[in-house]
Amino acid sequence: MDELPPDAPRPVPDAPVPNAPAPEAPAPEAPAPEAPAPTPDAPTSEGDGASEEIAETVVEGADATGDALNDLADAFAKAFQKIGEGAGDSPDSAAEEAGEEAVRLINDLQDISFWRIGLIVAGTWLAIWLLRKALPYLADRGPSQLRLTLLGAVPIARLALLTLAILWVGQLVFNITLQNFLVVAGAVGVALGFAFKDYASSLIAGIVAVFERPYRPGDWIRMGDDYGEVISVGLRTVVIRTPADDVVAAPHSKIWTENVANSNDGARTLLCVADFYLAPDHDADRVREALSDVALTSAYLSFGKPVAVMLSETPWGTHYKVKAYPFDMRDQFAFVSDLTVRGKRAVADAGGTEIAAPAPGPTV
Amino acid sequence: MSADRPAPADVEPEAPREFRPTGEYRYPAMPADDVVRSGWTRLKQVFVTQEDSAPMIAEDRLQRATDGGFAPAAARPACDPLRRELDATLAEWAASEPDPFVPRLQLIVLPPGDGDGDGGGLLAAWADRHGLERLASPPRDGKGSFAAPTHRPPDLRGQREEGGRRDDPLVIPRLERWFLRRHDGLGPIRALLEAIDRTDRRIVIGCNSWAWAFLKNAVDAHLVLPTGRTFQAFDADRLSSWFRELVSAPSAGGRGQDPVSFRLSDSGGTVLGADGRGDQPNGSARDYYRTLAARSLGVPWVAWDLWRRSLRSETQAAKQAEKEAAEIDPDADPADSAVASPDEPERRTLWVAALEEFTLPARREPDALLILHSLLIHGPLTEAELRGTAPMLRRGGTGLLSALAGAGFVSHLGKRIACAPAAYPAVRTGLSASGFPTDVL
Repeated sequence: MDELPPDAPRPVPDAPVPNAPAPEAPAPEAPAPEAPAPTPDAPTSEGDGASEEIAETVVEGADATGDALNDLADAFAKAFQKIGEGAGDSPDSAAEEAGEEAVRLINDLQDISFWRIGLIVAGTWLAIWLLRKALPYLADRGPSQLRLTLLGAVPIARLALLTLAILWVGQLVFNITLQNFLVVAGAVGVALGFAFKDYASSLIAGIVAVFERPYRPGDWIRMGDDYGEVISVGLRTVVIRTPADDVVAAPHSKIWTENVANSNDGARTLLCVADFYLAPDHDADRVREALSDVALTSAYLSFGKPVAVMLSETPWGTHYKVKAYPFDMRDQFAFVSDLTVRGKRAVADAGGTEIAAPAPGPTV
Repeated sequence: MSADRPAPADVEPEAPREFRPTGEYRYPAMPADDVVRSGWTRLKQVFVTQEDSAPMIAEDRLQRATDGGFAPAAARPACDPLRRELDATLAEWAASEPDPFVPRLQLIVLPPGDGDGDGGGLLAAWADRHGLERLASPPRDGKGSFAAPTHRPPDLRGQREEGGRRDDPLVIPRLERWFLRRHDGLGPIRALLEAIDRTDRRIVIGCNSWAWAFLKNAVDAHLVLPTGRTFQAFDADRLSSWFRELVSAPSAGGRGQDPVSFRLSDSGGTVLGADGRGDQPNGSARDYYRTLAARSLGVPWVAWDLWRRSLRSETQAAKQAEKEAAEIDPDADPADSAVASPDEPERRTLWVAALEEFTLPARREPDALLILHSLLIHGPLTEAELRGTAPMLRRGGTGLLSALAGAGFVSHLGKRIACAPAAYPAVRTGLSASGFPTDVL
């Protein structure tokens, strides 16, 4: 129909044509049943020339359609013949082979590019090693404001690199289909559930820790009896360095069962407390003011943070707590020491007397 | 002096700019290539570790320190543009009658180190020029503390001097001299603030910007005193105008001496003509001023100190060799104008070398920063006072002070130790990068 000239009158299928056979009743001589061609002798209300052109066009179209259908039938016949030849005498064996192909878990050894896997593993290891060295190095030597950001980027970057590498290698080694995925997932699930339960729990907790951030590298945390600075967040463990310079590795799975106290929670400073125990008979206002000045005049003090001195009566005397923030949490012990040294002098100047509980004697 | 050049008297000082509230200070920008160079230097400092066996002071710094350069004047000259601006800010207020609708208190906040050129500082000199009464800071005992108990508020009513009026403003030029960062060192400043709060007399208070940052936190000084005001940063144009004004002044360092011209040692461009003649600098000389303004943070006395330390003179041997070469070949083009022609007066050329870079001692840098922080907050301190305010010095560490002095970070003013003005920008950068509380201008 597209080959008709633009000015040619187009036939309207639904329009009734006088004396023309109904569309439902094609002429017996028509080559294709789908194309109801008008009979040559059927008169039309248009002129004879126009109706002849239309009739010719329709006949040509019907011929072309018939040829195409014949070609399609031949193609199907050939294809079935080929399938029959390839499958041998048994069509069932072909289906079985296709099924085996689908459930085959690992690619053929000759198809696995081991050198590429080696490169991926080595590259990932190198990238992670570089990250673990470079970022803490920059954090320690760069501006103080960037320190925690740089340290916190290490576990996130490592997790991203590991995920990428595992997916990449998996695609090279395994024949990934939905069926295979379900099989592998089931097997891994069983293995993790029984054999590596604790390990898997720590791994999952490690991933949760990366996103929930109960601790980050550079934070000062308390887990159980251990207090120290987080020096690295691994996949399975968090490593902290205590003030006594001990390195403690604790599994992430502790976050399921224990509270984690984070002293700074990503901030650059944390609250420090210096304790003083005084004999009750003193001018508390004066001592309190003196201890407040001790904190306010410390060289380590962060100006923007509050200073507070709290006191409470205890059976053995008056307990003063000087609470203040250093401008850098790495100075916390120097800060507390400074508060203590100068606080002792201030307490004495203010008329206070420090007391100490008698030490328990040696057991006999 | 050629007729086509303007006479020294032609150097017109620009109209004084009034001080502006703190927080509106615009630090001058550095030329792009200097930004890259400075960034590269810092990057190198991050990656290149000094060996543990490295000396506390780099070898090249020792050589440069012993070289000393050439100082046109022994003492730093007063900054006349700043004096005029302070006049423009305060003179009218000080001369007027007390008015309940006009603020009774004025706070002038300045970066540290303004005391050398004006004796007691810019504000003290202003008070002296206007005949205003100054309140002296409480005396110290020389052992690191105040001489007497100072919890009693000082008398701010003042004495009626001959010719002086009772309602003249009182000037307290250095608030940083009213406290020591010790457990018993805040009494005087508290007493002073209490007295200021109670009196109805008009008072001008001067305070160092680092001390002000401390006092706002420690004693809530901002609740008693008004918002501080400070000068506008000295950019390249203002610096070059001031330098030309200095050189052209009759009382400049070159009085009775041969005229001196200042030229860049790397490009030969004239930074400052003899007697301050010439137009505004351009090309490399303008870049030099832009760098100087940025490196000095727009603080004039810091710029002056950096400038003075970058001046070099030719050695006698070099001059002699040049003269001999000129005698042998009279047609030869002299390398510079240092060799005067017979019909011109002897003219000296001072060469302006690259601005010094200051590097903190690699080892014990945190301790060094604590000392410098204390010096910035208090201003100049005796060693005993410094020992009382810097904890690491109480545990020993005199060697660190020597290292800082050798590296040019601190200088001795009589018995007192101060942060060297030329090192102030490097110190400020180091403190800020290490998370110390800093000042706000």
